[in-house]
Amino acid sequence: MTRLQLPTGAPGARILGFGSYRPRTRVTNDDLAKRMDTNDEWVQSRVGIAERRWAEPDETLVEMSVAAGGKAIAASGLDAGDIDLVLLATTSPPKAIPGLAPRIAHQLGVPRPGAFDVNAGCAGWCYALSAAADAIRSGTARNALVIGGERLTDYTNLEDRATAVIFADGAGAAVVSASDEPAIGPAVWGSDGDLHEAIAIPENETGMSMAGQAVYRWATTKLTDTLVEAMRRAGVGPEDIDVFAPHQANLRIIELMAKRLKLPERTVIARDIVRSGNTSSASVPLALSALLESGEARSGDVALLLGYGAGLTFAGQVVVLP
Amino acid sequence: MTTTDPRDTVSRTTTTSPPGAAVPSEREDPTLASTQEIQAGLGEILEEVAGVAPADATPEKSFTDDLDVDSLSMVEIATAVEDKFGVAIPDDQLANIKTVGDAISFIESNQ
Ligand SMILES: CC(C)(COP(=O)(O)OP(=O)(O)OC[C@H]1O[C@@H](n2cnc3c(N)ncnc32)[C@H](O)[C@@H]1OP(=O)(O)O)[C@@H](O)C(=O)NCCC(=O)NCCS
Repeated sequence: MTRLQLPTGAPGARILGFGSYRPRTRVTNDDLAKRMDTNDEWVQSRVGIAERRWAEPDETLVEMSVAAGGKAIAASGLDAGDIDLVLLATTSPPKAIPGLAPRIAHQLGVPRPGAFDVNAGCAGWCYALSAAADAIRSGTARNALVIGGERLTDYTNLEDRATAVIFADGAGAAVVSASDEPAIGPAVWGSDGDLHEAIAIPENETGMSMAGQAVYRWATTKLTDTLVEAMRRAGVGPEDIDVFAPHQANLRIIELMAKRLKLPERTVIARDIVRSGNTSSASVPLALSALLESGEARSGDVALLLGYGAGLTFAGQVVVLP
Repeated sequence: MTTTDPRDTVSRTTTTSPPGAAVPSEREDPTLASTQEIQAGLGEILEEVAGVAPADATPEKSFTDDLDVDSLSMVEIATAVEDKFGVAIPDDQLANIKTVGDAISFIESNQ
């Protein structure tokens, strides 16, 4: 049998920089209360959201992703020409065909990269980050741009107050590059496809619906083990975690996870949901960008990440922040 | 594949007593929790999950109206009940549990 040659990969991969795009229009709970039967007290106490951003028509998925991706490239110190892999994690593309990553890459001036979309629900960015790090380690890519972009409001039914108050829009991105020291730990990923109907667009409908309590139960019982395993495989423990940035789905889930993991007092917990709502694949990079911009998280910090959502899918990993 | 529901292997006072028979003061299966034990265990769960003072967790209390326990805290209570008593409360049944007494009877008849 012919023996095929394999490239020499890199010892590790690391994130070089983040970028984000938050849509212009801020929507408060009081704004929502004017158009549906809800109130600020309910939304704050059940979900933890104070306001969110909704994209205007000109803030398309491509435009938001290009904006976030461009900032991430600038923050990384690389040029667009250095990027050879572009991944767009999204669960809300306007059309099934074509995938948007090639067009986003083109608009950013990235020359002919490997480019594809990843739909793993709200776990999409964490899945894509892992795929990029693995491509770099195996030698199929050298520098990757990993974007999480969503226009969930395109798939939100404003008649369904239980989801309309939660979902929002935005994009976050990171540039991932080869490194001698591993700074992206192995992903602990998986799926529970028996719960595929729990977050879905029902037959003959255009808006998404969610079995909120079933997902709440799943998230608060099944995912702690994923996080513990992600730390174990990266060779760190709760005491080493400087930043905890899980998917921003519900503040109460975030607080419960932090409590169950027994993270130390000093751990910075991402609570970007308060001002951004649930932005699915964009939530983890948006939250990390915000923490780095505010100075709450610092370069070299060890961050524990978790994505989870429609599928149902989940992925946890430990990374060192740029 | 056939699986045995662990509950089916447990003999229960209710199924072995003829209708109308006096409830035996000694339970036949010592592994089952008594009503008092269930109430006490549920009290601990309520304190842990929702900060309810144990003295307030009496059977007639409504979770939402009297104890300020909302639907998501109910989900957490269901999880804790499963851990403590091995009794799963599915989402659709959870909606029917309105009072502390409802929860006690559910656990009692499903353990
Ligand atoms: C979505 C979620 C916040 C809903 O909370 P919930 O308590 O399950 O909500 P329910 O639909 O059971 O509603 C509870 C009550 O609030 C009311 N309610 C629902 N939405 C409301 C709103 N927007 N405003 C005001 N009241 C509302 C309901 O009518 C119901 O009232 P009732 O008890 O008088 O009938 C919660 O289930 C959740 O966060 N789940 C997890 C979601 C998640 O992690 N997704 C992951 C990936 S995207």
